[in-house]
Amino acid sequence: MTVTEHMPWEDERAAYLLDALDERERTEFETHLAGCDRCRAELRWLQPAVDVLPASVEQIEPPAELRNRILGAIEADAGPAKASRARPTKPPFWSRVSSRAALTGVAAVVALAVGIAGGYALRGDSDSSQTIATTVPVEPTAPSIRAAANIVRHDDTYTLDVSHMPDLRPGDVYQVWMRNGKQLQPSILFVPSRDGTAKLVLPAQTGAADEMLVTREPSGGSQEPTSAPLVSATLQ
Amino acid sequence: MTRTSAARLADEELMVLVQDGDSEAVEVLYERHGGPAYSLAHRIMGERQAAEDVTQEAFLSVWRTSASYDAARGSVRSWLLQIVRNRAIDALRRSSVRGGRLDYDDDGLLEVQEAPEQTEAEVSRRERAAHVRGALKDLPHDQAQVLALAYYAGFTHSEISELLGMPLGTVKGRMRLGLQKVRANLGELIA
Repeated sequence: MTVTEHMPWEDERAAYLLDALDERERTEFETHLAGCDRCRAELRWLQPAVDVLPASVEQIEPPAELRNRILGAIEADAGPAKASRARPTKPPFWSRVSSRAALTGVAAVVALAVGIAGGYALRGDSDSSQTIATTVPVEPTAPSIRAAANIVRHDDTYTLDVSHMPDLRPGDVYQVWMRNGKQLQPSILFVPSRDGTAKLVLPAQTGAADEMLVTREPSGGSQEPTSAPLVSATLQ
Repeated sequence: MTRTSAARLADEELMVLVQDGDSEAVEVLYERHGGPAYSLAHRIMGERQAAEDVTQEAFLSVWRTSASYDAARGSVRSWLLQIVRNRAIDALRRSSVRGGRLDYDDDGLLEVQEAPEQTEAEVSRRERAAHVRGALKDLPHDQAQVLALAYYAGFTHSEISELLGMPLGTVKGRMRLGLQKVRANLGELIA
């Protein structure tokens, strides 16, 4: 890329770090970023300038009761998590899979054209222990995007493998949604591993759903999607 | 691990404990960073109750998404404050508050008060904060304004362009120049 061709991206870097790009602009910039050493180096240099901005605000002592409120909420949240760790033989309803969101440098709306109905048909009734894995074809919205998904059914358990998931903002999670007719139901939450992959045990409702979607949401998830789907899969 | 033992650990070590489900580690993180987190939330939200809600959401995010923390990408403090900022901006965008901030003029960015400080680490942070304020004071007002509108009010550059009635390219340029200047002025502080 020549200097002239690269110039339009120069002004996008600061806006990107300040979260001042809209969804489409952010996607375009991240797609460019995936193949641009110059922009990645500039972002690494600029990032500390954003990190120190909170240090400039007036320091206010939080109310004393806030500490107890926060720690109480965490203790309450810890209860179910501890309980699930105590039953290792039973797959958790949702899994915070592995560690760390990956800086893949890509983000795009990815449509997964899923033909899992055919995969299920292959399973039949004669061998309930047989694993039927269906590789999901991926149709990225930009040539530089590579995304993949694999849905596997073990008896009544559905497992979803995803890779090359776009980066998450700190504190955000991915949320799975199941559409059944006109109803969209919130489902499990997950954080991809450092390499952008995740392996999830999907809930039993998956078998009855028409479509599965994944969106970025604040931690704890949402009752309704607050962002556009990044991944969608037609199930039936 | 007891809170006393956890209090001796570095933030990054505490995050390993948080990933293992140790709530005492989160308590220590709150004691270290709860004040700055609440202050940032209050700065963005503009009122106490909303700031408390945002701070609580942020620490719950730390608890629930601790696996996504990557030490290679910055300190725990920066990560936490980024979460606070994201939660606060999300809350602003869900509310109608931002509509009332069309004449946003961020004097608060440049005029801040010192809070009582106690530990050596906090003294160091106060010096750092003073350095940051110095860097921000050196910015031309129009550059500081667009940085504040983006960071503290969560406006996109297109929205800022509309709010200030200036071309999008001008907003982008001021954002870039402002951030580059802050970074250059911080220099050795964050080298």
